Amino acid sequence: MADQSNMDDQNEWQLARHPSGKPPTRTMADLLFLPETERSLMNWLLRQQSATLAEVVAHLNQPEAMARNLLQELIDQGFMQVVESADEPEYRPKMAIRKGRKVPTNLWDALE
Amino acid sequence: MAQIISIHSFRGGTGKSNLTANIAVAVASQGKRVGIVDTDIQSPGIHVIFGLDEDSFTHSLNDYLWGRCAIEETAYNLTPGLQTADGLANISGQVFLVPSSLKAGEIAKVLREGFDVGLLNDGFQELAEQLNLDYLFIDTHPGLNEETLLSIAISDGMVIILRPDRQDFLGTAVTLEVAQRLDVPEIMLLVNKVPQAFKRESVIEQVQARYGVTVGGLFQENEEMLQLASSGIFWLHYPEHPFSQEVHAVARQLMAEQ
Repeated sequence: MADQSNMDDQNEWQLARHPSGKPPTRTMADLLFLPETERSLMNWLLRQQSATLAEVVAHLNQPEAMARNLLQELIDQGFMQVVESADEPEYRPKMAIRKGRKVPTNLWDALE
Repeated sequence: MAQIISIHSFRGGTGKSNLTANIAVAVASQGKRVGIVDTDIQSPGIHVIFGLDEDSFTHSLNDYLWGRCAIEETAYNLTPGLQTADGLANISGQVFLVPSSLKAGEIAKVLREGFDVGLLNDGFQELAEQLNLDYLFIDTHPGLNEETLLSIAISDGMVIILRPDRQDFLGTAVTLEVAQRLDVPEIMLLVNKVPQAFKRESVIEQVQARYGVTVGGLFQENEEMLQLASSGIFWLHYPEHPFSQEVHAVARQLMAEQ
């Protein structure tokens, strides 16, 4: 039986760095493991769909350099992408594709 | 701008779809434009409660996710067909439903090939804009998966349904922890399928004390619900029933919160 005290153990929410250095494909579940500041920004951006640097700066109420660093950190970790638009670049959450399940082909074929 | 409200339960069988349908129609009865999206792609069914037959709709959420159509083409205006016990209902707002397919092959395709979860977020926003919605209710898959996490993350409010059952109590704690990590602004608990023998105040007190979250409504098991057997919107059939009064009370709270 699981130890119920683990429910409050914040260590379970630590996100491991990807060893290859290449941004991995992130899922919604990965978002839960981000530290509070990054997670909060991602949550806000998911609701906004996208935002410019100026909008992010206004939301965070922090200096532009700090916002830039935070966004770059999220890009490096594979959570965010920059989309070029007519006016200025926009930051958009990078959502992963929900992967299919591995089941023997004959089982799938029987269902279709 | 539409308010997005996700309706969730950690375990199946809590009556989530039934309550979603009843609350959504209650909100629409106050003159609001309401959308419902069935994101329970693996075990859909809310369209059955609205009397929408699989053969009577040409597109479903599955078609949008496969790029076969625009999201607004998957929405059906259910308002003209809503039934009371005596005939057609007359409500002042509008109710639209985006159903998920109940065809085995379509469900298998989602499980087999997956889909772009980001498309759901774009679809919700597009739907709200195209239909000029006041509220968008998302009927989620029980437990936690990618589309449920997204639905929770983008919601302005979240309703969590549980039964007075130990497994539901433990699962609800998990859902609440996740919702808090996703910064959901408003969370409401609904206790459903409460045996008549249980004291209402005692159950509400117990649940609120356990989670520190408001219990927005408590619904007792009843014979009429069993007899209706998901073949209609309960409060339209039994407008004076205590269950129906509770549905309207929850709808009023949701509208007041947003």
